[in-house]
Amino acid sequence: MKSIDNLCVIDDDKVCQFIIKTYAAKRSLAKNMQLFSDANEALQYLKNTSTDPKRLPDMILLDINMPIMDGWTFLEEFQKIRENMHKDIIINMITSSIQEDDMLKSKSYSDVAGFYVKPLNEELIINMFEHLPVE
Amino acid sequence: MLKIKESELWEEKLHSIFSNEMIGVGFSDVNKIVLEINQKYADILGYQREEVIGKNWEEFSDPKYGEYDLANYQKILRHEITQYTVEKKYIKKDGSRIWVEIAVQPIYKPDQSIDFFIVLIRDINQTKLAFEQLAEQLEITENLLKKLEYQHELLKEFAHITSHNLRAPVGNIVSLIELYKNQKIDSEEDRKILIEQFENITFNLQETINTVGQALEIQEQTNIKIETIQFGELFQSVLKGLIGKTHDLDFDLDLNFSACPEVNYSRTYLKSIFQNLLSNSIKYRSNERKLKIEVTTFIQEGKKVLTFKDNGLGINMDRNGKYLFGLNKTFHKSKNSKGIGLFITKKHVEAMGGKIFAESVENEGTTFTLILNQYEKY
Repeated sequence: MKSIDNLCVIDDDKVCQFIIKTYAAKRSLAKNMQLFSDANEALQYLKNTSTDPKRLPDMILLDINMPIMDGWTFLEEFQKIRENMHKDIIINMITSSIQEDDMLKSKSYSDVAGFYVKPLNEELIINMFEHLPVE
Repeated sequence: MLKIKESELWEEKLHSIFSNEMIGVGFSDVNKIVLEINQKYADILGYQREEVIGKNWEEFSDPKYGEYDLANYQKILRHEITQYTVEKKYIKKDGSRIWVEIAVQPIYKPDQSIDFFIVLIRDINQTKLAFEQLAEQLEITENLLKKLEYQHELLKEFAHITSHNLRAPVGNIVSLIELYKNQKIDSEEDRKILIEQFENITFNLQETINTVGQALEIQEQTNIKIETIQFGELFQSVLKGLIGKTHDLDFDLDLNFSACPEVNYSRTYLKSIFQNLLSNSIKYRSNERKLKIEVTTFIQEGKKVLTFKDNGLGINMDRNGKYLFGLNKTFHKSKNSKGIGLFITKKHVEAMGGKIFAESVENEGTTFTLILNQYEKY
C-alpha cells in the first residue's frame, strides 16, 4: 500500500474526520494528518506552509458542503495560491451530495483528482490511496 | 322648387342618423348639460329621453372612470385637441353600471368659441365584461402556475434535505458501524469518541426530522387563525419574552410602524418570525459596535412590507446567498448555530402568501425584507 507524508482533511463533519483518521492510522496511510472543520483555516495553513514542501500536504480530502466557506470556494482560493507551492498536491473531493451537477463541476477543476461519495468506508479510502500517481 | 325638395331629403337623411338604433347620439353644451339625445342613447342609460335632457352628464358618469374623460374635456375647452374617444362606465337609472365607448367632438361658432358638443356612444358592455372575465381567468391561471412552481420548489427542497440532511448522518452511522465491526477501534479513548459521535448523530437526526416535520405542518396548515395584529404590540411582547434569557439585551432599537401599523396575519407565525429575526441579530452582532436594529413597516404597491435591519456581522451573499434559508445551513463559526431559524421563518412567511429575501454586506449588517401579502395564500 502506498503511503504519504501529509494528509489534510477539510470537512466540518467531525464523524468523517474521525473515520478517516482512524482508517489512515490503522492502515498506516499517512505519517501526519491535519484536520480542519473550517476551510478558511485550512487555507491559512496552506498559505503559511506554502514554501515548505515538507509540511505541505500530499493529499487533501475536501468536503463540498461546509458553512462559512464551502469546497468550491476553497478550490477557487486554492488556485490563487497554488503557484507558490512547489509541490503537486492531490485533491480528492468527498461529499454526501449525490447530485450529478457537483460531480460534473468537480471535473472542471484540474486540481481535483477524484470525486468520492460518502458514506466513507475502508474500501473507499484505500481506493483513494491506490490511485495515487506513481512517483 | 327642386332645391327645397333636395334640402328636405337631406334633412330626412340626417334625421335617420339621429334616430338610428345602433349608436347613441347626443348634444351637450359647454356646461356639460345634455341638450338632446336620441332614443338609443336613452335606452343605453335606461332612462326616458326627457329625463336625461337638462341633466349634467357627470351625474350619470361613474366617477371611477371620470379622470381621463374630464382631462380630455378640459383639453378640448383649451383647444388643445379637437375630439376624443374614451371607454367609461355610465350609471343607469337602476343604479347598475354599463360600459360605453364615447366619442366627443365640439362644434365651433364662427368666433371659434365652442357652440355645443356632439357625443356618440356605443354599448361595449358585453365585450368589456368578457375581457374582465378573461383577465380574471388569467389571474387564476397565473396563481395556479405560481402555486405549482412553489410546490415544485418545495419538492426540490425536500430532495435536497433528503440528500444532505438525512443521507449524510445515516451514512455516518453506517461508516461508524463498519469501523467498529472491522475492529479498528481498539483503544478505550476511540471507543468513547465512537459512542459520543453516535449520540451526536442521533440527536441531530432527531432534530432534523422534527424541523422537517414542523415545516411540513406549516405548509399543510389550512385553517390557521388569521387576526388583525398591531406590529408594535406584538414586537414588544416578543422583546419581553427575550428578557431573562441568556441574550445580551443592550442594543438600540428603532421601530417605525406608523406608515403601516397593522396586518392580518397569524399571530403565532408573526411572533415566531420576530423571535427568529431578533435572536439572529442578537446572536450575530458585531463586537466592534453597539448593535442597532431598525424595524420598519410600509405599504408599497398595495403590499405590506416589513424590513428588519441590523448592523451586525453580515453574511457573504455571493457565497451563501442561495443557502440562506436552507435547512442546517450556517454561516458563522462557533455561535451554536443550527440553521433552523431562517428555514422555519421562510416557511412561516410563505404559508401566509408572502416572500422573504435578504441583503447583506459582511461586517456592515443584514437587512431582511418581508413582503407580507405578496400572493393569495397558497
